[in-house]
Amino acid sequence: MNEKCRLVFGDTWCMSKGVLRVYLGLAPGVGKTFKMLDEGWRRRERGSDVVIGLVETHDRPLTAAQIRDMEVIPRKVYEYRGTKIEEMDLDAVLARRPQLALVDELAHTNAPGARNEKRWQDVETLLEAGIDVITTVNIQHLESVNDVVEKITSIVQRETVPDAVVRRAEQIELVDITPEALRRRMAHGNIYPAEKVDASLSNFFRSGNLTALRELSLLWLADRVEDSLKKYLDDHDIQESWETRERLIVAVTGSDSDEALLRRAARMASRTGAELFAVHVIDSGALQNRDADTTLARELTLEFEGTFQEIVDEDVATALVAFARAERGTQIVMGSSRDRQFLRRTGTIEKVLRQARDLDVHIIAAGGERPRRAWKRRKTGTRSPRRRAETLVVGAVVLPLITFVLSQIRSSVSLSTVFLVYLIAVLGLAGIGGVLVGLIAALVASGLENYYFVAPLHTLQVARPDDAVAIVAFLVFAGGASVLMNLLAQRSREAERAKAEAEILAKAAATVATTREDLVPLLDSLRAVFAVPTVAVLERNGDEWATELLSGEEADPAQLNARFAIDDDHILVMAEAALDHQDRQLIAAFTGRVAAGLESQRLAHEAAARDAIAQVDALRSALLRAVSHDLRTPLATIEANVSSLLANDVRWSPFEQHNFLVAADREVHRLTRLVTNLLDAGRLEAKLITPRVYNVALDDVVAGALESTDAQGRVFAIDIPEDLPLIATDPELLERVIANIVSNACRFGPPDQPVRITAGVTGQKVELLIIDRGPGIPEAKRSAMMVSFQHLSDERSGAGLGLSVATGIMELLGGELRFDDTPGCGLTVVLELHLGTTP
Amino acid sequence: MSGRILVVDDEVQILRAVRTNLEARGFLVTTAQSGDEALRFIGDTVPDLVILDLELPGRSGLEVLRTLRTWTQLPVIIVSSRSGDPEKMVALDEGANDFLAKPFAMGDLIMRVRASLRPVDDKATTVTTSDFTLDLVQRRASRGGEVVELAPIEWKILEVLVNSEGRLVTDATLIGEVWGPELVHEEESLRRHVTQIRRKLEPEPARPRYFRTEPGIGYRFYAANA
Repeated sequence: MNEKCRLVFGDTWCMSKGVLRVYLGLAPGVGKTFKMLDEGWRRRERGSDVVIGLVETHDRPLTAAQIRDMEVIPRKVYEYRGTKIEEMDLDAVLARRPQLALVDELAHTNAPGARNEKRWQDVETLLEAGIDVITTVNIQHLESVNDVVEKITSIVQRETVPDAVVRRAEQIELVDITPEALRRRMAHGNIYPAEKVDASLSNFFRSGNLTALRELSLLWLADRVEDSLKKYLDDHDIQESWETRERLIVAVTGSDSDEALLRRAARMASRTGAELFAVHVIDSGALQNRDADTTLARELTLEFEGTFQEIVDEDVATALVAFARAERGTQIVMGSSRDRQFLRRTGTIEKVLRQARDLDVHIIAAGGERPRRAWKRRKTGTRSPRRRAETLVVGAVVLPLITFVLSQIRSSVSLSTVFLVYLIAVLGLAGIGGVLVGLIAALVASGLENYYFVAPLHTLQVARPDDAVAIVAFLVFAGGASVLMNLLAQRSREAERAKAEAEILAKAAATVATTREDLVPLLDSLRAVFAVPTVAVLERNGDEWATELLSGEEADPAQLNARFAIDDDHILVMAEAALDHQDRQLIAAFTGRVAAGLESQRLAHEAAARDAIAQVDALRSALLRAVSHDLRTPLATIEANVSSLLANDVRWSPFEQHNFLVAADREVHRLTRLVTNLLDAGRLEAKLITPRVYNVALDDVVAGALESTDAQGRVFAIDIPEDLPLIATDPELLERVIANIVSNACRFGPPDQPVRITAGVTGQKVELLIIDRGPGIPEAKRSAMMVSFQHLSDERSGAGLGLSVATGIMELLGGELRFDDTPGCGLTVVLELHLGTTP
Repeated sequence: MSGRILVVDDEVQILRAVRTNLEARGFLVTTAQSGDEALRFIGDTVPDLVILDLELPGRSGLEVLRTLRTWTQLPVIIVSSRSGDPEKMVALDEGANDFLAKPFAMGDLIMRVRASLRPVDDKATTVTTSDFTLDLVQRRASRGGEVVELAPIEWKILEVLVNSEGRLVTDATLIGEVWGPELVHEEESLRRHVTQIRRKLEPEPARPRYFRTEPGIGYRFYAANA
């Protein structure tokens, strides 16, 4: 077979296989099929046995003509759910055993029931059988560029071909054409039928798209897609897709392994063009990771142009996943190093994996370094049993050693020297091993002194009372010193703890709190540091204090024993707190941060209020524009008609006069309705309308409403049961509601369709339905329709005011107005009314 | 006077009233309710005048005007209900010939239609109103039998206004005709001269009947005491 293939894949593979040739196009219509047929003819003229496995002409005359009399294997018809689908008859082609088969559209998905799911699998089968194949494929169908194409064209391509299939081809030929030429070809109707041309030109065949696809095809051929991807998307200003791209959340712990973890994460992020978010979850429950120093992580994250955040939460895993979701993260990266014992112990990794569901979680085996600062909170006065045992072993060596050395030089040292040497040893052991070890050492040392140095020697008896006093004094002194030393160590540890806590608080407080929610983490960390059940900020409310912010459980006011003033109107309280002077200073500093947070909240609040006012202003001016248009239009008609009547250069016939008057009269009614609605709207807003509710028959109200409605030639189909119970309402107001809705229905519904009005009892309510077959109101716009003077479209205005008034009145009447879709099309307005009261 | 007039407005009631009025005065009227419809019609048969509402569904009146002006100078009277709208200035800049604010009296519309349809080269030599007479050739003016002295520049202004009787003459046009096209910032002196003319010819200069101001746009001369 061919040399290249043999070189690449070896003899066995190539000997048995056909050769593949692919025409790669940047879009439909570039002329792939034509080229394929062309090549087929060229081969046939050279004497090859060529058949057409399958060619899609798409009814393009030039392509169809190119088939000429080439042998075409008849297609096989599959029936699927009542439709006949034609596919290449693979078995027929195999049976025919040509030298070369032409198979169009490699990415095609076969009909269910076919031998292979995809056409490229058919092609592989042919190649396996030693048949050469020429095929065609468009760039957007290649798997590796599929998503890029989707971003460029915003069209999802479901039919894809693995790149490897195409790459295996002996030759890939790009059917190149300039986007302009392709668009021209398109516009001339050479590609798609005329009725599809316009839509195609403005969609997939936009020249920007085509240029991008062309470049992409060239890049793919050069196998440089990966590298150029980023530049590609940048160049084409595909920002939206960056948004929808990966967002990578990396969980840092404030240990040395963070650096490695962050670097890995940053590499992953840059490879996929993902956005990087580093997050440090401070465990507010255990504060086990108080030793965390996130300075480095913070700096690194900024260096990688990521975002750094700290969260305080009791549940590290849940907080992490929640953060990832809130930030629309797509991947979570965590380390699994030894130092993160809290992760291990609480099964954080497992929990994250469990909760992440759709998020990808990467566990990175980072180094097992110790935390950056080896400070751990320990229960005061306790040493680890291991350490204690070690110290005891040391003591068991040191004390006999001292005894041995001293006994060798017994004659030259006084008893007090011996005692002092033992004392040093005991204090040393107590310092390392704690108070218990110290006491044991003291006891043993006194025994050794007695046995080896106090007369009579080598007995535990004491001859001189003086010596006995000395031994007892030694015991008391050594024991007491051990206790004191331990206390000292404890104090220094406490001081260290306080320092660490202050740091945590300072760090937590350094995050600028602009919203209420931002302040709660501050309280959380305060609560955690002082291990109290409740920390809250109270706000003065007259003489009372109301809880403004709360961390922890709701506490009985009697338990709130620590109070700190924040500002004139706010205090910080803690429950069951045992605070010393230092703590109080710390908290006082902390309240400064809370005060700043509250202040910035207040400012944010004011800014929001200003925004709201600006919004109201915008709404007002929109309303003014709309209303002035709505008012002027009938006025213009009235003026035009009335001024016509006043003309003295024409003598109008009675018929013409009548027409002018009818038109003017109709507009006067329209104007009256509008002015009534405007006044109602104003009075509703000012709450000047008081409904007078009594029992009435709904059909009477509807009849009254229709009387005052300009039907605009529409027919009503009214279906209100005669035995419908009375309703409790203000008939005059309800009439206006119905009139407004019916007049909208008349305006928007098609002239040949009746407006249907039906009513019925549902539960304790009576529902009145006004059903039109107009264009309806999209779900998203419905709530806006009710609150303000919105217009569905500028072309047909005036509806907004009516609806808004109707909604306002229904609220006043205690009923409900809601929108439904009319089955088929159109809008159904449902009015929910109260049943009449039985006297 | 006759002519084919296309009326474009989305309000059926207005269309009907305008059509009745124009037909009663001998015009041939076609109506259109949207910009596209209007352009389709004009593409088939070019009318003598278009009365065009600026607020139309879909393609706006302004777009219709722009499209028209790419190939025809046929007179266009703009109608709009948006008062004080910069759009009318834009429309005049884009080549609209006249402007009428909604709501309008039918008489005003008829007058503008007639003025717009009058041939431009139909130059008057003398004008006689119930208050004064002007002889544009001899440059003689008299009011109540007494000779009125007018400055040469005032005669120039009068010439332009009188020759466009009933039609809107924008400030820019007047300045261009009187001072020359390069002196565009002469609104102030134009205003002074028109005040002078009014003082000399109008019976009540503070409430001008003949030389009307279209605020912010230009001037209009009415020979008849409308």
